Amino acid sequence: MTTLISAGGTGTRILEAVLHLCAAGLGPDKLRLLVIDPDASNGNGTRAKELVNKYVECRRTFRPAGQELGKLPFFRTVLDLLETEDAEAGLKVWSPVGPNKRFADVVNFPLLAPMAKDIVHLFFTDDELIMKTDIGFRGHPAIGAAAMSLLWLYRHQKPWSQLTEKIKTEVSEPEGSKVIIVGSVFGGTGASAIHPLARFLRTMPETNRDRLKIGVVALVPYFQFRAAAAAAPGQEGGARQLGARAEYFPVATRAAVQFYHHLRENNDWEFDAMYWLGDDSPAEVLYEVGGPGQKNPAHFVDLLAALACLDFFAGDLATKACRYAGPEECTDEGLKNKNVVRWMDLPFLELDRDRVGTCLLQFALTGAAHLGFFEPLLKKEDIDQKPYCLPWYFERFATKKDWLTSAEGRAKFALLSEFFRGYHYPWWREIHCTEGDRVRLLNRFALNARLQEGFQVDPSRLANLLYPDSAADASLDSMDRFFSDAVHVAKAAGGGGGASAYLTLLGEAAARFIRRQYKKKES
Amino acid sequence: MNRIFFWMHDPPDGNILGEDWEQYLNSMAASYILVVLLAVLATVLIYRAAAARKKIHAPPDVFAPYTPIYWLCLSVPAGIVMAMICIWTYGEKFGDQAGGLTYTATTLALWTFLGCLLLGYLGILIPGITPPKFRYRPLWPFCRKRGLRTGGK
Repeated sequence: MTTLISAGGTGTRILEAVLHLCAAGLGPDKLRLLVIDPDASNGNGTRAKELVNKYVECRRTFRPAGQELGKLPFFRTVLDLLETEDAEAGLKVWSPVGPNKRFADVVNFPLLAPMAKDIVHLFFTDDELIMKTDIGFRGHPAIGAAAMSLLWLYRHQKPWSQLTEKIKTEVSEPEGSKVIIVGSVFGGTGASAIHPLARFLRTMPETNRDRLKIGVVALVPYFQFRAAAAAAPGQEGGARQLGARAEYFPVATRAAVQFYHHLRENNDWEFDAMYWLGDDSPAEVLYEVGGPGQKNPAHFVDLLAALACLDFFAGDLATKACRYAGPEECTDEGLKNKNVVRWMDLPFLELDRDRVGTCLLQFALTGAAHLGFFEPLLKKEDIDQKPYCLPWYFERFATKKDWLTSAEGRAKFALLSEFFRGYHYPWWREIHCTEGDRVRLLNRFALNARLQEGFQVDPSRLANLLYPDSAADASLDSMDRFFSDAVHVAKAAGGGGGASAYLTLLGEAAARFIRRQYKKKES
Repeated sequence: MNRIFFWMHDPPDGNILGEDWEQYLNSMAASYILVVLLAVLATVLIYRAAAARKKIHAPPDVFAPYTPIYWLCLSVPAGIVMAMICIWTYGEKFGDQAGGLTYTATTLALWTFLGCLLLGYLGILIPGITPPKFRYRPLWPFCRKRGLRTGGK
């Protein structure tokens, strides 16, 4: 079993990326999720919770009772959200500090002996002591680390007690347990959580400790916000003055790297793998001190980090190495000395690059065909009266009285539409929303060209979903070919019936389409 | 060969000799086979090209009239051609005063039309002629009542 622990806002965004990859079928069989974030109301966290719920709903709908979708891997990963009867269902967010608590309350400052208070004052300013911690540690890892070092006190409480039990059970089996922690090292929560958490996890199993593999995805700066915005007077007791400052990111990163180097040099290395990721041209994002307004867009580094997580889950981890990779510098006019990201630049040790590319393309193509053609088609009244006009529908559904046009069937398609329209494509769009053509994975023109007309993907570019854009080849004939591919899908392709069979049909048609149009191997 | 017109064994005009009539029917049968073969071949080939050209670009295209099948209407000109051949050769063979021309020409035209229509229809059902995406469109008369959704929304 694999566990992903996301720390802070950056960690949460990577969790989103992992879920998108899992939806495309690249995830492990089972994945346990936990978020550590004192700022439970932050915008990224809310979006991640919604995405988790949507993923779970899609899996329940399209893979009822674990039913297979033929050979299709979509939504194959089973999520373990550490559910309990007494807690709200969904993604669990644990906070090392209670609601409305100031840092002084967390360390029990008012009740400390005078000498202890003096020691605390050596490390923290008065402003930091009165800082409210329920919107995160705001780039103050010292505060976060102090709070996180108390993790041991919560070991008998949920979710840690559940996690401990599960990990203990898993390490008693030969496959063991893999845990990956993701977070930034230049912010507050992530930077403060990684090491205390790894140390805590190491103490969990009493036996077979070597079967617990711990990995870390450490993010170095890949976004920034204007110094002025961060320093502007805030409304909440100087919250902005104490907020994260982009100009301190390099310093914080350097300190973090030195710290981990120190651990490595002194044989205090808790990690079986550590992935360092960042970007040399940080994206500018709107500054928000925390809360619902902190809803940063996805970035291609999120995708790379998510792939690092999956690579960690897929590998056998014989070395306790630090892993990093860099792309070639671009020589294109306008992007000189900048890095670009192409499929060949995605760093993999264990995953197969072709498989990753094909799975992502297949899923994107399935969604494009669903939103751009099949969903509106299934909404047409004619389908009930002339089912013979759609051979795939006639043979697989209508003649078996498995009508997809029932209210129940339409609700299931609406769910799939919502996943693609509300989450998957906006995520891809944000990833490609960089200066120039720095991200050369999908074709961003295909994702944006007809957005105003309500198309998430330009239907004339089904055969050109990958970079580069080839506007001259844009043709609606590609939709015709996709429709033909749907007709050619073998009836034995699987998927049971109803919504599952429908998704299988689209996915298999996408695989055929890719084999012909993109000349790639089937995933 | 004249068995193709088995119900026309007797001449329509008493003045036409049986032997002449039989010769005439033989020549008409040869023309009939030629016309039907050419018409069916043209129908199937043009239909195939039209069906291959017909694209589905948007959902309404799926339910749009299946226009390639209209090429079966080539049976009509085939019937007319047959009627013209009949009229032309009838006068030459039996003289302008001979009766029964209208009956013979109409019958041959109709028979040619039906032959072309039936064989043309069977021709478009040959695998590979109709694109799979339109597989059931020519079979509309046989499957239009299958798979219909009844009951509430």
